[in-house]
Amino acid sequence: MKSIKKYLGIFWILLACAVIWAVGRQALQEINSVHPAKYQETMLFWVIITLIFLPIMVGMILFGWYAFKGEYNIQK
Amino acid sequence: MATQTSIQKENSIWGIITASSVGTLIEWYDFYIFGSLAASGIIAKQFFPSDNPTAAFLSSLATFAAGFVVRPFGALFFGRLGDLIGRKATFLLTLLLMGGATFLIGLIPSYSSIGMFAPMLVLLLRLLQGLALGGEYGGAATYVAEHSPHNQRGYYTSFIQTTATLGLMLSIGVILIVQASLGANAFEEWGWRIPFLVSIFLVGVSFYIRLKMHESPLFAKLKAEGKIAKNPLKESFAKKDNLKMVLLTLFGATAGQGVVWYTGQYYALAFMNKTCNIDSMQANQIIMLAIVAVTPFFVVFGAWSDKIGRKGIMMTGMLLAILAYRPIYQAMYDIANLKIKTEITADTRIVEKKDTIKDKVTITKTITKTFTDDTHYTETVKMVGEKIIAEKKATVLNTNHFWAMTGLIFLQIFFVTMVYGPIAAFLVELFPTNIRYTSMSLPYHVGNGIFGGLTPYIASRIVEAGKANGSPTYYLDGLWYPIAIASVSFVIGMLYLSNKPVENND
Repeated sequence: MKSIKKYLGIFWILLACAVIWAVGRQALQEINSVHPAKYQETMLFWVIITLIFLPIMVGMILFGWYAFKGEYNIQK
Repeated sequence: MATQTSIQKENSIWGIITASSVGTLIEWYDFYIFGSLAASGIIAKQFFPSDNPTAAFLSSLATFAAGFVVRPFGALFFGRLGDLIGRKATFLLTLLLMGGATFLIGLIPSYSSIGMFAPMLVLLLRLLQGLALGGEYGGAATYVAEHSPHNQRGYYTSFIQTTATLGLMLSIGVILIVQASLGANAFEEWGWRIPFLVSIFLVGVSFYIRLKMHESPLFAKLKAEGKIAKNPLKESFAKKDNLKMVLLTLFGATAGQGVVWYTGQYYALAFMNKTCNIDSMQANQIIMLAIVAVTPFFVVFGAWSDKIGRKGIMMTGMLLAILAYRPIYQAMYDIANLKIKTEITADTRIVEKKDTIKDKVTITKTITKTFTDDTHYTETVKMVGEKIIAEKKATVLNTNHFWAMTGLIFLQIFFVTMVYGPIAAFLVELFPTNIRYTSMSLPYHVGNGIFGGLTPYIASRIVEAGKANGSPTYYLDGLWYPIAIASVSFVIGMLYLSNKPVENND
């Protein structure tokens, strides 16, 4: 179990990176292809989504790193 | 003598629970009035006219920013304050802030009276609401838990857990009552202000009750011993031992719990209104009935978690939600699907009405249909020339389908009671008293405000994308968002969370 928890840490790091990439890609795609009438609304949506999900995903990378280092095998 | 002391303690804890729960309930009520009225389009009509792009921009900002971005900041600001000056003073402050902001929204003149000042003031007050909400929950949960015996924390804090759902119900209930009493036109014109204005009385009563309460005994003890955290933010998030628990709580519990909460109540309502086109009054009745029936289960699961542990119940709720969402929503869709019903064509009526408003000819076309299973459908289209300016579809379900739909919503909120009932006690037990308010508030509000609060928006966007790409079950595609988040949370929770409370030497 300890090694599953440890190696899943790498998976959480990769998952967070994949989410950052997917959000960025989707944002650029939608902003570039949106109808001018909906530009402001779409821009606002993606700016907010990116700004709030980026630090959360950095948190997930940190979580994965702690898991990989075995920090969650020794709970208080 | 010992029995008398125990009765006094029991009375005192119920006073504490009542005072804390009523205040928290009112804060949720205040927060949801805006959301409910915004969903019905009244807020936009009064403050954010769609023909003014800046006002429309502020509207999106008011919806997104206050609900999602500001709540975690409120958690940090008031959490820090609560760990520095005490729980009581802090949640008195959040109550006043929320009540004041809500009351003032009810007083703001409309866009047609004061122009751009109206949407700007609404945005400012909505941001204050979000900040206050971010500070309230952690304070109330911490306060009740710190008064409760260790082996009954789940039971006592579960009453706080009922408040978010009851606050949503109260907001819908007050709106329905005011709307029914005044009529649709008067409600749209000025009656919508009443639910906001009523808040000041509720907050006044709650403030008075809370004012008479004492500080949390655990915080008072820390203060007397001079052990209060000097910098709660630094101790919560800069120390690895605590930060790793904050991250684990967020990804292994509150993110999954947040999406289950918002799918079961908010997305379910949006799905009934927008995808199933169910009459909004009937959809609100369905949600309210389901909430009334399911609310006792918050307490049942909270109390049960004292006996068998928090983790098992929360993870089971999450797993059930993951497995059941698609079948449940398919059943909801089928209940209201007019394509599989038989229309009584002889009963179909089409009525056209012409009006002239400001030299423009408006045509209102109303089509009513009846089906063999006693389902009724009305479609109203308003046109100026060839341009459709308003369209409304409303399906009224027959009695059997009404109850079947209520059962399906009940089931979803039942999952909510499993994941949400024990979570206050779970969060409180993870963190030490001196930084508890700060440490538990942030993962709670990121999980609920961001992962959960964004559910209706992200799910609706996925549905739209599925529709555009020709997915045959596009109406279920939006569920991939809560299913994915809850699945990640479930795996992390199962693997990394402990079923035993962390010993914090309280």
